[in-house]
Amino acid sequence: MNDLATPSYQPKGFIKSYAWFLFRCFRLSFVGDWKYFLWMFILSVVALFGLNAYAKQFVQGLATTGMTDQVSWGLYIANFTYLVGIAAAAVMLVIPVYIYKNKDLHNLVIFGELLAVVAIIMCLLFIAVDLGRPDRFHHMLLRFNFPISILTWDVIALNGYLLLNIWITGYLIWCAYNKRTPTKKFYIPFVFIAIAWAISIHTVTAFLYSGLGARPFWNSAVIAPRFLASAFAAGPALIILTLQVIKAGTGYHVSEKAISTLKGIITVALGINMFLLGSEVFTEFYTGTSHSVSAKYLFFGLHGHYALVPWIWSAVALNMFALIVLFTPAGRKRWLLNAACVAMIIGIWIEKGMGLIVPAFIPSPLGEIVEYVPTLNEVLVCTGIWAFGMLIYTILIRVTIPVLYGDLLVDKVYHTDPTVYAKKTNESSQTSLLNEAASASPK
Amino acid sequence: MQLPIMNSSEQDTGCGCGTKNYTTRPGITRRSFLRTGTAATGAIAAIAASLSPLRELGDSDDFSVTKFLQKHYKEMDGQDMAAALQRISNEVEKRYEVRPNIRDIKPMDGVEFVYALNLSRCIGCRKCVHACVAENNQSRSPEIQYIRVLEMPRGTTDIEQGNHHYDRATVPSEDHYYMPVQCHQCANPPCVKVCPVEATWTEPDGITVIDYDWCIGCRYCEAACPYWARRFNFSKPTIPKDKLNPDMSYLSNRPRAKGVMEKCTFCLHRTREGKMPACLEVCPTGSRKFGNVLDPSSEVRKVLETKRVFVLKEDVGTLPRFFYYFDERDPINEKNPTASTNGGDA
Amino acid sequence: MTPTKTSNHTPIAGYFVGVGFLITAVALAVQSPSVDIPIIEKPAVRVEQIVPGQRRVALSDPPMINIGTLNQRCNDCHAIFKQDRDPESELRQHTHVKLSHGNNDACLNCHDKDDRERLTLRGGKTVGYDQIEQLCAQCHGPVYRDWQLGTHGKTMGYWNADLGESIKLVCSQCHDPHHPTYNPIEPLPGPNTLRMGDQHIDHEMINERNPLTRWRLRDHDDTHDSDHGGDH
Repeated sequence: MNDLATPSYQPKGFIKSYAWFLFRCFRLSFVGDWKYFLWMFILSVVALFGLNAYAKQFVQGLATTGMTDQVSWGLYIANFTYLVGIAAAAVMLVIPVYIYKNKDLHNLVIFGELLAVVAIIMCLLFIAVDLGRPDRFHHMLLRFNFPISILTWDVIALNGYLLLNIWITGYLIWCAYNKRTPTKKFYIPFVFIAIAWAISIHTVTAFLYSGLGARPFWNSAVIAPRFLASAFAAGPALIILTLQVIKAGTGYHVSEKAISTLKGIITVALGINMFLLGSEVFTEFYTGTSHSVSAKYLFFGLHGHYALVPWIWSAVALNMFALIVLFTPAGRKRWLLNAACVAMIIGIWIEKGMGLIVPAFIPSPLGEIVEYVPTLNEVLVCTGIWAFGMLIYTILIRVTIPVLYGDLLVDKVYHTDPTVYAKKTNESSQTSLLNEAASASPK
Repeated sequence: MQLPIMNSSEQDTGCGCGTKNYTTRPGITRRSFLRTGTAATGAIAAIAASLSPLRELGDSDDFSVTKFLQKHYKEMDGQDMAAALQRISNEVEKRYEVRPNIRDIKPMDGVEFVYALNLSRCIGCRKCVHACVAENNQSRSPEIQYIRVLEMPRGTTDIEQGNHHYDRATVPSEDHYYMPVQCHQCANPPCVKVCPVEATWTEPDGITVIDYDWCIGCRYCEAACPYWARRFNFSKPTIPKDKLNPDMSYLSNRPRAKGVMEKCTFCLHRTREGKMPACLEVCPTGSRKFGNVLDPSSEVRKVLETKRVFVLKEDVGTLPRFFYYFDERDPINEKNPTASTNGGDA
Repeated sequence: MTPTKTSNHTPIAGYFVGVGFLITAVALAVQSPSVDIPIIEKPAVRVEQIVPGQRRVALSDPPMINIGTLNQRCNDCHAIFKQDRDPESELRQHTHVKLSHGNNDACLNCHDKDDRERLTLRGGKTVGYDQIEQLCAQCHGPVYRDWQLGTHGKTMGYWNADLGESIKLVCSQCHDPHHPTYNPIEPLPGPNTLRMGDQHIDHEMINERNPLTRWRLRDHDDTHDSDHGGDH
């Protein structure tokens, strides 16, 4: 594609050029076909309803949710826990590329890390809506109970991970935009830190729960391994689906090798997750002490209260279906693989959310059973945050792909015809910037 | 600087895909202005409409610059505290039309408070629950109660078998004993451990306190407490004006805002001045014992020395300062054939 | 900043978006600004139900008693009407007294036969009504020991006697000496937290797991004998 015209505005100096780049990105996020506009419009409307629901909650307090003194954490923390796992799972793309030098996944690292950024933003939003006094957030900076309170570790871990991923992706995209080869020392060390950090964010989140002696359902060593296993199952499953959506929506080429690598990862992770589930179930029910009363409530109901039983068994069924598909040759069919991914994502969301957070509060430490049902307002806030996250991710992808393809560059006019991209392949020279960078990484 | 605006003027890039180019031609066409204008107006209107419930915040006194800048209790000096007390006093007066006597009472030296409860004598009348609600200015709607009385069947100390919601015509009921549970002011409190902003801590006299103006409402402490002793204000607390107790202190029973935690403080606005807590004062059977455990002549010390005391959930390692004991006798469940149901007094 | 025509999107998408947002705005604006929070109101607790205080007012020393409208000392009558035996039938005076004190079923076990303004101890000694604990202690030794230590009974007012009055209640300030066992009383309302839901008791679970109940039920099944009573 020859480019006859360069943009007439070429700012000098880093800040101006970066601001101009952001402005071009902003404009670009309003370019797209009618499907794109419809998608963004729907997401915006859902996000606005969520914002409205949160405004009501901000005025009236958390009584607009279904939370009570007995079940004091609910859907918000459930979604937060799940999304920390998704964020941690982005590293599952990074490891094969940078440690095992898997070339097919090169450009997908960016998409995975952008997903991590968005997931962390959603996590922070879920925490913000769960706080009783979000206006006092600055108190955390003034008196920080570090290292004793695990919540403080979580604050550091999540924000650090966000900054790491913003730095890495921002730097690589900026270099691609400027047609510069990225300098290794500005991102390779951070990539390796991000790998370790991703494991730690989810471990710290697990320790938030497992460090409480008051909640025997959580006070178990298996919580942290289960978190990691389920995160590395659900996260890459989400990435598999996302990559296919990107391919369908923008024509960006996603290699089959990438999908199969990810499939291998989620197969192992889901297997480990189910094994750990079996281990938990055995330990709780074979011994039959009063420590297992929350597990009994979750799986079989307790004293006439059965609200979560259908949910958890659905989750088990979905995960078993996904496991069978992945472990058998059936997983080679793409539509079955996609179905398995959807099943896993939903199944793990249920078991990590309702299956982990809520049962620990039932019965209360004094033996009272008060069941938890999220209110409409609460659900609207949650869907609003999810929609907002998807909105951000869509915009980020909308901007990143043209840069990676070499269509949005510092010295190039942007072509607004999306059919152009269908003709691109991964071997095109404009996409090699990242390849060069990745292959030049140290052993 | 002229912004390159894309418009429908014909200037082909020549690459054959039919795309029009950015040009430097200034100006916006009428069509694009209307298009953008409609979209932008719609978006702004939608955002404003979604935020419209915030208009109800106008009469809220929860947010102010002074409160935003207020320091943590432990960092306040005399002046800061005086200013804070003045502010609280004004707010209470404005809202409840009662001038409170609010002060910051420091702990006494050489005092460590301990509570003991005689399970042979408690009849489960719940007077302690409601005396506490009245004394500590707790919300009535929704109702917050620091004390929870469990009706336990005889033969077990398994809390799961306790009934919180007994609603009998009279108490005590045969074959049961009654166990009130409130904050145990633990010596190794898990709630203090987990608070990310140090809004709750243990004072020198053993009481675990909360700075209501520092708490961010994350409810981690509520998840961490093994005795379900902490309460959260899910909505703005409502106290009828005539029921307000004007005798307040900063760390205990001043009216709280929505979105913060609260709990039993052993009535420190009373006990730090030497008085008994409200729950003990109202108990009709004298089941509750309170005092300074460091004083060898105090009643609680005698209880610990002469009675077979136990604590709840000792295995969790919280070292509570709240002990339960039984007498040798069991008046509720003794078969007393001469107990008459009339005469005598309540 | 509006995108130009491309090959497959219509320029009026912007209009649709705008109108769509306006509809959303209207939909949001017409909603109620507050969410309905279900709060179940329970009857309020009356102030008299939680008044701190001793259970009853003990008799003074010397004791005064109301006869009709007159407030009399005991010996105003008993100095004249001597009676040094226990009553054989119903009392004609002091009819409100229903003696229900276990084995202690004789009036003159406690009241001095010669001087009704004194209480009698073993061995002929008497004490005034202001030392009633001496009388109770004669039979209720362990409770008296506990009362002296403070582990039985009630101390009101101040735990710190240096700062205020620490009022240790005496036996008759809680117990009616003629009927010391407390009558059952009506409990105050139970918990009423948000969204509590159904709070029924699982009797089956309790019966299974409570060792006392299990044995009783087993006895009941084996012997079909229900004279143990006291099942719930």
